[in-house]
Amino acid sequence: MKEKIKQMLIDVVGDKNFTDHQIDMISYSYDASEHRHRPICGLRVETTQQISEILKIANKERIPVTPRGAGTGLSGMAVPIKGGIVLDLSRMNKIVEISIQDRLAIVQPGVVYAELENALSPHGFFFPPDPASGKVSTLGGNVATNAGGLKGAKYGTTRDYVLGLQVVLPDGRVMRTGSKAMKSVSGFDLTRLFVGSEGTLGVVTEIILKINPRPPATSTALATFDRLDDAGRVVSQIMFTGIIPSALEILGRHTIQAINQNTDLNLPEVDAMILAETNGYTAEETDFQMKKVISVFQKNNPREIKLAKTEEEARGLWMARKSAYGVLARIKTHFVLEDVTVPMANISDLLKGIETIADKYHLQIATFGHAGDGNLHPQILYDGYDAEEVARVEAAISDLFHLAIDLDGTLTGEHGIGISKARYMPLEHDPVALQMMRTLKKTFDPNQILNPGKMAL
Amino acid sequence: MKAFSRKQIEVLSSFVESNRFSTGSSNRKLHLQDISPHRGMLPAGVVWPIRTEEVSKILAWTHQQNIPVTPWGAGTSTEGNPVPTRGGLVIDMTRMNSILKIHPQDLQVDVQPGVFRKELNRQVGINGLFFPPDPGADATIGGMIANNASGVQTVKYGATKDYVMRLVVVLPQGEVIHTGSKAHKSSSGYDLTRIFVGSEGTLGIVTEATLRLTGIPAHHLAATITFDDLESVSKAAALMIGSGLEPAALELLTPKLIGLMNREKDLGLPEIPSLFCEFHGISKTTLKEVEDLTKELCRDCGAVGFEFGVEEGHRRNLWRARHEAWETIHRAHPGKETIIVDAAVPISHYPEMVVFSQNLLGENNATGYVFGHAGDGNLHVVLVGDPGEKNEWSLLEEMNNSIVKQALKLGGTCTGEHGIGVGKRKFMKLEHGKSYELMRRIKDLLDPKGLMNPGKIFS
Repeated sequence: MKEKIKQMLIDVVGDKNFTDHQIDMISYSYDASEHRHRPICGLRVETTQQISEILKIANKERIPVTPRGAGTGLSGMAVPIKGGIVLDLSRMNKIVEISIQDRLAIVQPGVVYAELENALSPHGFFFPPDPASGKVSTLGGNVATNAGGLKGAKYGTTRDYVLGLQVVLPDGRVMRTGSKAMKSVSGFDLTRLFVGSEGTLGVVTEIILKINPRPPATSTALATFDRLDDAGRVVSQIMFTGIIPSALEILGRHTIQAINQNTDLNLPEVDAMILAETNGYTAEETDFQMKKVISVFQKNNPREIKLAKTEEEARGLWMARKSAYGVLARIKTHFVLEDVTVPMANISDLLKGIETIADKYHLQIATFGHAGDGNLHPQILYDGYDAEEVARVEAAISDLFHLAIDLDGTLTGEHGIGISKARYMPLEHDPVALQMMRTLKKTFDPNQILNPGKMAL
Repeated sequence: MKAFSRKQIEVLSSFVESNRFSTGSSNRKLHLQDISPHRGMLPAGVVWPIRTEEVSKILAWTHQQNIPVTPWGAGTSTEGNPVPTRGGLVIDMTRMNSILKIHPQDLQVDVQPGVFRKELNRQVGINGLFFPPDPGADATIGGMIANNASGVQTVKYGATKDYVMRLVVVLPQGEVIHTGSKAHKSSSGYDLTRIFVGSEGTLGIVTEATLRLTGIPAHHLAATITFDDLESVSKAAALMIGSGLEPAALELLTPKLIGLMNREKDLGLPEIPSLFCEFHGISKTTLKEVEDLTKELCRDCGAVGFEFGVEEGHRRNLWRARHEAWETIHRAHPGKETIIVDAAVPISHYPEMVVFSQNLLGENNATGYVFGHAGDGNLHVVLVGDPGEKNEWSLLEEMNNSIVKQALKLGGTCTGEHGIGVGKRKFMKLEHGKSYELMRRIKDLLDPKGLMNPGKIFS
């Protein structure tokens, strides 16, 4: 980077907020995916105005800019794959306003999900999307990936909660979308164009979020099934009863085996385990829903059903699900966590298909996920130093994506496209749709400076 | 635009069977006006496609011929949204009206755009499911998608955009695009689906959609709650929302409108500020708890009367009366036209908006009715007058402007559910500032010649 430009950037953010130290460049070079690339410099920004100034400079000088939240993304979307500037938004971490009466919160993008939760909790409210990375991931990142989580079946994903945004466009102009009103049909829905756009269209600097009252009562149960088909039917049938569990998680055989090998949980080694949680404003309401869930379990040949009687027992039932990712991550040197999503009725076909792929490529694929919204996380475990195995993993991923699309699904339910899935975009989106995305990108960012190299744009 | 040439008529007739294209004046006149006073320009012809390929051929050709096109559903919109402002060709979608497939296990349905809302609900109802967005009118699904329609139940169930998973759209130059998927959630690429939802047919014509459905609630409880004054009634509504009660409908009605409804439908309602509400629940006991809490809250706000557990026949009459409010107002003022204010504000500002609007009517000695979907902060003011009486009508226009400006000042929007159409274009820049220009660029990208439903959203 030219000294002159470096100085201009320093003038915007101040000496202490500019860095090009190797150690920082390494920190900024990765997220939670396997992708790595170092930027030329990092800027810790604090105001919308600074971002606007920086983007004006970058746009003029054609320097790539990659916005970064907490770096917990799983698809490489915060990796500055073309170098340039990393825009570190973690210091824009103010909760600007919480209005319980209006059921909304206004936040800066660097606010960590859990901090908002902590701020809402005393009011009896919460922000539902609940990504698994919520303890560290930022709300700006959640918006950029349209993050979802355990509660997706009942509460939807981030997209469903964003009422409006303040955005800095790649040429430095600052713009607002949406409003504080709960509904609006005024013009095109630009807000939802930015949600899930992975920082390729603009840098979000303020977010108006809808918040929900937190139902105080929950009920938790777990059931095991010897046959996958039975478990698949359970998922569809539960959703069809009209009650929507606040969580409906599934663990496949390989995940259960891996958990048993690495913990003392001593789970029955069945084809599938389903964990259901219902919630409500009263215990009566919650139990009523759980009774329906249990009756569906009973009709589908369960090996065993456990209903938690206390909160501690509920935590016990959750243990297997919550340990899955960590346990699996430790088994081999490398893993990929996939994120395919299909319509609910196709869940058991997806699970079976994944087993077939694992057999075909002699790979260890352990699957768990959010059955209630058809979102499965097959975790492929492999030795990253074994080139031949890496090739098999690549082939398996390709098969997996084909399978998901054949089952009317999507490549990614909540992790985003980023770098990892970019080349599979044509599999899901027809040429006209891809063309439209690229044209939109060009309209917003004619010089392709904002988070370049992502999403096959 | 003037009439089609003989050659143009020949080409258009070759795209569809002869009984599905007309240049007859009665057919053209039927597609001139929705329920608003915005009259279009008589179209040169009307075509009724039944297949995506037909729509694609038609649009590729109209684009090449520079013919303006306007898609048409049920014509139940309120801002001139489907009115052919420049004549040309009207594409009436009501014969593309198949429910293609119901997927009860996935809680989804594949539909064509010409299916009517009530017919859809009748058919999916057999499976215990329903499509919740409820604009009152029996709109087509295509029209509901175009306008992101919503209504009395939106406070609990959300608007049309929350139920559209996947679309097939013919773009203004005839290309066919598929957006979204049948997966319950997705983070794959830009959300093109939601660009089309609410774009009022200015970016293309939807020819197929996959909609999410939800289970019909097991129990419902309807109630009317009355208050002495407007401020109390709207405060109670705001408090019910802020406190986390989840009504499935929460409607505010004012005395004059109730008076009209009583006169027309013999409802016997007290003519004082009222809330019509409904609660949906999985069991009767949960609804009982909701009832107790609602009563407590409303009493604190000064409620003077409660009727909970409204009997089924009466409940239906009440909702029918509410849905027909606009028609009732028109019937009470024969020969008059109306301007419908549709502003929405954050709920805490709802009381002041209601009082502001009612006072404005009083100060100007104007005829108008205040009511609305209080639960989501959506206010309707129906202003009644004669567009021929210049002074009177411009006073109504001014009042419309003041109410919208007030709503925008409070962080709201000029339209909660009716859309921009022709009537609210004047508010676009005021509400959106710089993002207006970005919308315009998106429009130009897809429709560079400005032929697709021209004269809507953008001035």
